[in-house]
Order: sequence, then structure tokens, then C-alpha cells
Amino acid sequence: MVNSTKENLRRVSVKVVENAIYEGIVNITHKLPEDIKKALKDSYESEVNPKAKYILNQLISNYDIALKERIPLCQDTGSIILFIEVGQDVYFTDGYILSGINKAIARATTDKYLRSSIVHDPITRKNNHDNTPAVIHIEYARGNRVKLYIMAKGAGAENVSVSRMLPLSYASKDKIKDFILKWVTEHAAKACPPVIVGIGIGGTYDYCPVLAKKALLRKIGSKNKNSYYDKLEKELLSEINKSNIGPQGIGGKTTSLGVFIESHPCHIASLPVSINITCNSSRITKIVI
Amino acid sequence: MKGTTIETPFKDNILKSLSIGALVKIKGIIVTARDASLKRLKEDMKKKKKLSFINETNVLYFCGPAPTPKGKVIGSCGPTTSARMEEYFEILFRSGVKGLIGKGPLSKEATSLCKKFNVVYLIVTGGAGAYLSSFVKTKDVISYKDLGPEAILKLEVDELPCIVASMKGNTIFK
Repeated sequence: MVNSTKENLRRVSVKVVENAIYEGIVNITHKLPEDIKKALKDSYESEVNPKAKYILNQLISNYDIALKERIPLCQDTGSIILFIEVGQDVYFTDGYILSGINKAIARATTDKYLRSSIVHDPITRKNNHDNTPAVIHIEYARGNRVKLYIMAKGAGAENVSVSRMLPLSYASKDKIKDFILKWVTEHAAKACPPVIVGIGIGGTYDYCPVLAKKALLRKIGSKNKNSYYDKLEKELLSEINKSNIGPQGIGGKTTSLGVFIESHPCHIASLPVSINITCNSSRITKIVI
Repeated sequence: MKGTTIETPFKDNILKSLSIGALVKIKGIIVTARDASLKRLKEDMKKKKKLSFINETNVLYFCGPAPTPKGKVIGSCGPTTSARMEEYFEILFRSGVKGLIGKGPLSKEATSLCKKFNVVYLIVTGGAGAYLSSFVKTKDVISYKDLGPEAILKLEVDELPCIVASMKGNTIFK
């Protein structure tokens, strides 16, 4: 029998969550996060290839124009992906939380902030022109807060992402590095570079790509809490930027703005690795309710 | 970087004035196309065998714009990945298309096909859709309105900044 006492629970209205998500989506379509802006500016300063510089300058103009004129940073307003941490002392009221999330997306589409980029069926390609449903990852946390990460992710970069169950012979820093470097340098040009690379290592066949996506939530310049992976991230970033792929693939030393790794324990027989690439227009926002 | 202005439709000898990596600014009419519209266009061409817009322009832009905000000509309108459209290249080239605008590298086969038909492949900056919208002066739906962002649009552009990415079998990509 369930003994439910609601006295200690914090009531959070689904309407409040819906409105927060709506605002979040509207914001990220035309407002590039500060860390990405800074990374683009810094790259512009340090880049020596004139054509690469020219492109980086366009990307800087782009975020200024998008903000000033309130038009989307990119026409691909993306798939809406949410990572939600729900405090275990939260009690949702005024409706069903998942319906509230999807209502927010449909509303942002009706209000013309989003392009209808989602087909309802992957085979028939029928487009319902409302961009629902979102891809949602929910986790429990301690406390009574709801932490929302909203990501609007373009398909060009998503299309060149990958997951592999690697043989255990790859369980060394050098081998993993080689695998990641080979993949990223072969595919980054199609993903609107400078890209950001999210990497999942470990977990299971289903969880590893979630780790890779979650890794993309980190801010540019942030350190990995695990010093082993922090070093690996820095080495990978440096190697990727030596590839001379450059902005849009036309050469230069600005191929990636950041590499982030999320690891997870895994089975004694397995080594899952996922690489989730995102484009220069990395639109992510965090909201705490 | 200074670029030379070239007008659409592209002339037969367009390649003479271009080189890989050069900055060019496109002026005139271009037509948008992407996955769903090209699929339908291919079906329609099997019946009629002519592109409705070819007398006006021979330059295609792989793009599906975001909705047009109030008071604007067009919404954010950057390029989409050109490699996804390669299966339609031959039929388009045979129908007179001479210029493609998109983003990202093409396969070796597609690069050869561009060479065979004297087609130039130009790139605009992916992720700069808001910036690129400022070069669009007019927008009209030509066909497949029901496809929403994938409808075929006629755009009049003024000095749209592109980089020559592939021509004569060569490519800018590393």
C-alpha cells in the first residue's frame, strides 16, 4: 500500500513548467549562450586563416542580428530535447507534466518561433507542423526543485553522430582517442564546424548515447570533475583543432570549440562509446523552478 | 575579404571567372530546394521533364527557412547539408542547373558529376541563417506550398556571400 503524505511535498504547477519551457525555447532560438559567443570571439581572435576568420566573423554577426531582430540563429530550430531533474519532493499539479512540455513546444511553433522540423512518422515523413513530441530524459534528484535543460539541436550535426560497442582491445586512452579522432575528423565538415563534441563512454547500448548528449550540456571551458577525462578532453580538442578542417570545413584551426566526456560504469564484457556532435549554433538553456 | 559579384542565371562560361576558395557575391534570382521538395520535383520531372523556373534561374539553394517574422522578408535561412541532395544532382544538371549553394563537402562521385556538367558548387555559412536572411530582398512560393519549410521558393538575393567550394573536379574541403 502506498502511504502518501503530501505535507512535505512542494507543489509545482505544470502550467508554470509549460510557461518556463515556452520562454526557454523562444530564448534559445535567437539568443546564443554566452559561453558559445565567447568561444566564437576568442576563436576569431586566434584564427590565422583569413577565410576561416571571415566565416567566424559571419557567425559573430549572426548572433548579434538574431538577438537584435529576434529571428532564429539558424533556420533549423532543431529537435527539442529536454533533460529534467525532478526533485523527489516535488508534486506536480494542474495537469500531466509531459503534456505540458509538448504544449509549450506546439505553442512556440504556432507563434512562429520554430520551423516545423519534426516529421510525425520517420518512414512516411508526415509533418504535423507542431514539432512535438520532445525527446525527454527525466532523472530524480534530492530536494524539491525542478531543473530543466532545454536543447534545440540541428540535424546536420545529429546525422553525423555515432554509437559503437567497441571491442575491449580499445580500452586504452590511445585507442579510444584514435577512434574518436578518426570519427570526428571524417565527419565534422558536415556538422557546421566549429563543432562541439559530446562523448559518452560506458553504460549500456541504450544509455551511452544519452551520456554523449548529456555531455553537451557542459559550458565551454568547464573542467571535467574526473582529472583523467579532463586531460583526455583537452588532448582530443587540441588534436581535432590540428586537423585543419576549420570553420565550415574550409581549413583553419577552429574545428571544435569544446570536447566533453561523460563516463559511466559498464559490464565487464562491454565498452560502449558514443559521439554526439553539435554545430556552432549550440542552443542550450538551463531553468530551475 | 572582397568578392566579385556574379549575377544569376549563371552563364555557360561561368567557371572561367571562378576559382576554388574565391569569395563571390550572388545577385539575382535563386530557388530553394531540399529533401522533400526534390523528391517531389523528381517525380514531377518524370512527367513534364522541365524545371518550371529554369528560364529565370539555374541556381539552386539547399535551404528550408524558418517562419517569416512579422515585417520581415524571410526568416532565418541558412544552408542545409548538400550531400543529402546528391541523388538528385544528375537529373537537375540534365535539366540545366549550373550552380548549387549549400554547405558541407560533396562525395567524389558528386564532385565528378559537377565537373561533367560544368556546375559550380558554392557554400554559405551554416549556422548563420539570421545573417544570411539580410541578403534576401524578395521571397515567393513557386511550388509545393503544403511542404511548409520544404516548399520551393524563389528568392531575390543581393550580394549573397558565398565561397567557391567545388568546380572542375576540385574541392576546397580538407
